[in-house]
Amino acid sequence: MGKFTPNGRGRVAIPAVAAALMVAGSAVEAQAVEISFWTNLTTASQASVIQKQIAECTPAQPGLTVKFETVPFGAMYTKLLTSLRKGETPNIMNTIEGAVAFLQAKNALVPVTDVVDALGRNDFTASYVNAVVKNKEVWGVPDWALHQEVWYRKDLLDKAGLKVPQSWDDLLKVAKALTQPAADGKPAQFGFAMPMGRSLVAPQTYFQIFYSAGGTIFDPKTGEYSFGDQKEIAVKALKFMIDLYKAASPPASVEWSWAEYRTAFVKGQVAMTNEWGAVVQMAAEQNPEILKNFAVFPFPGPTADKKPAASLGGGYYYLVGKSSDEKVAASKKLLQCLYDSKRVADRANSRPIFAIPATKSAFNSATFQSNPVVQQFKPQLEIIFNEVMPTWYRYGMEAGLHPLTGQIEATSFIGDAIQNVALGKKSAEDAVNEMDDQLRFQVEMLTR
Amino acid sequence: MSSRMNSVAAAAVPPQSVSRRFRHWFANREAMTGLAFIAPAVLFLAVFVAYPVYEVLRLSLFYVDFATDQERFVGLSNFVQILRDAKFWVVARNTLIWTVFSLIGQFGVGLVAALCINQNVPGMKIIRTILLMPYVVPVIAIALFWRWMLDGSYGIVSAVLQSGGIIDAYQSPLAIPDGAMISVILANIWRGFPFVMISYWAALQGVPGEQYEAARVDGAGTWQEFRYVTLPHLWAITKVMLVLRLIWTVTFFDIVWLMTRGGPGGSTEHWPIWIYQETMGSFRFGTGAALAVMLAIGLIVFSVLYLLILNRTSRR
Repeated sequence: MGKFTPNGRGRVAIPAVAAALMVAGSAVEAQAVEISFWTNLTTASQASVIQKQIAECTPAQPGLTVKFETVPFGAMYTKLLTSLRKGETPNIMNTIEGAVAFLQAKNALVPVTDVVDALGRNDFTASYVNAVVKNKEVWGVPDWALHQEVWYRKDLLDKAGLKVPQSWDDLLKVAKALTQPAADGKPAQFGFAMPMGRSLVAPQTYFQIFYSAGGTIFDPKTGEYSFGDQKEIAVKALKFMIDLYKAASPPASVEWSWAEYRTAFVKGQVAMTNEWGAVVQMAAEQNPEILKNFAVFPFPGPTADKKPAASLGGGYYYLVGKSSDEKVAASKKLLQCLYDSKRVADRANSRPIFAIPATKSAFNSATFQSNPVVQQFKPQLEIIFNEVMPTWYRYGMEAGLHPLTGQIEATSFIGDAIQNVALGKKSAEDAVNEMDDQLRFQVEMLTR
Repeated sequence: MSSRMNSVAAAAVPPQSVSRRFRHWFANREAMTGLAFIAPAVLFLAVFVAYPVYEVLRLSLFYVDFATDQERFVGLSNFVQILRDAKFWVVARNTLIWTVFSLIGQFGVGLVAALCINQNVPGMKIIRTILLMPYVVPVIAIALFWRWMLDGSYGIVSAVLQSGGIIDAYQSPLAIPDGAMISVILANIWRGFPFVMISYWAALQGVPGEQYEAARVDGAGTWQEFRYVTLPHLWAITKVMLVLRLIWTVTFFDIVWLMTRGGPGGSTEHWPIWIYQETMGSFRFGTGAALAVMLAIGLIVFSVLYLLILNRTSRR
């Protein structure tokens, strides 16, 4: 049996082939990247659109695989904490601004300033980018807007000869005028739903009023804690909230959450409500006849001579988690593909009106504007896009990212304080002092 | 004298003989088999019970920074902070009301139901099955069902209370502090009574019929039969169930959270909700652990006192 002995040429060729194979192998390895992708959008209509878009975008990066997972909002912080402890932060996460602040505070994100700039910073509604800026870096790419304004029944206002309210006093008068007791077999009608559910809902309602009067928790310019210096505004806003509740809201609304006040509005029990636009889809499913009577106006400021200073809003963002350079690069490239204006519009259309694109190109795109629901609510959308979305804050994020937002949403001290005033167990002044104490405590704890 | 001799003898045993005995014990196949049998259980308890308990005790003495995951030993300051918190007495009072009235209701309704299902009448099997249902229905379904019945606009219970003038029109008991507490307690009674009912029913099966006959011969009426024959037979099961249901009720989180979130205005916030809020809301893991330790201490103290009192009364 002959023994294989490489000749001179072979002596050169074999290592060369081996080296070539090693290089080729490492090239294949470099291309094989798996990234995790989490979204809080668990409903099938929304999640499936994102999944479809991921499938469209991944072929542009050969070797890229995306592990897609829907994470319910209620379980998000727990799941994030666990993943952080294991060092397995999702590579891409689609979530709200509070979670951006949470993850940024945990040093678990990479900035996406380059992605925002590459996509065109001016294309984004500025308020949505500003909300997630910290240390001059952008930490989330705005996707679509959460917006709060007053949704009202045009037919009821017209019938009563009432005009759209321009101030708090106006709003109280109109709400009172639209409040009618049950008579002739007809159920009672309430002028304004003032939901005060302990978790999330009470703070969202209260801060809408507080912001309209110019109050903030942090000074937007200096970033200093300012709630304590604005107690007068805070008390005034709380008193107005309770006045409106007592004069025109169903008594049970002291513990109402989203489902209850939306149902009341859609069923015609209340004439106006502070809302995020979810009533449109709900009415389309439960009481389509009423849809033609829905209209919106921005929550007014205290006086008619001044526009509301701001509203309470929020947004859905895409974040990139800290990871290897390859994964970060692949994640950012995937995001750029997902931000094609048609795709942004398609994602917003998966829950029309509730979700409004945070980019101008997507808002003006034929994809978004041709949606039948969008067309039906075109005048309302113009008001929301031009008057509500440019000036909004989220509690604690008035000067950019701050984890206080997550703390406010995960606790109930603001809801307790508000409910106790509504129940007559506390004065507005005491409640505001209590909120101030707790806010200071939370800020101190977070910055310790 | 003999004990002194024993201790002297024990001290005189050389160390080699101890290790020999140990080796001998290991060589003993029977002992090794026994050890092998209990090992999975010991391992399970160590991992899933002992370690979490140790971790909670340890965490209660630390401040945990959730932003950096760094821990700092703070001694008893988490406990001091809890005791100084304005919520402490409110939550303690809520927990006491929730527990006491839930137990009274569950034992009362459970006993009455057990006496009813102990009758041999046609269709009783179906009635027993129906009465058991609240215990097997998922808590989320029970909470939604109760919230719906108590809704201020569409709920049947609220409608009855409104038409009776007990609450205002379009008002819900869940929006009134006392009404919310009563509502969650009633829901808990409704959910928990079948366990008591079944336990009592099992005990009633063991009451000898001759004792009732003898009582009747002695001229006892229905009440006297119940008082002097039935109740003494139920006492043993009541003692055990009371401790079990107390622990389950004090630590029962789901139904209150799902029905009221602890509101309105904190009026139904009991100890487990406070633990949850501190741990998963404020991410103050140390304070949450300290709250859990305080609750455990409270339950242990109560259980020990309860057993001591029971032992003393049974000796009399």
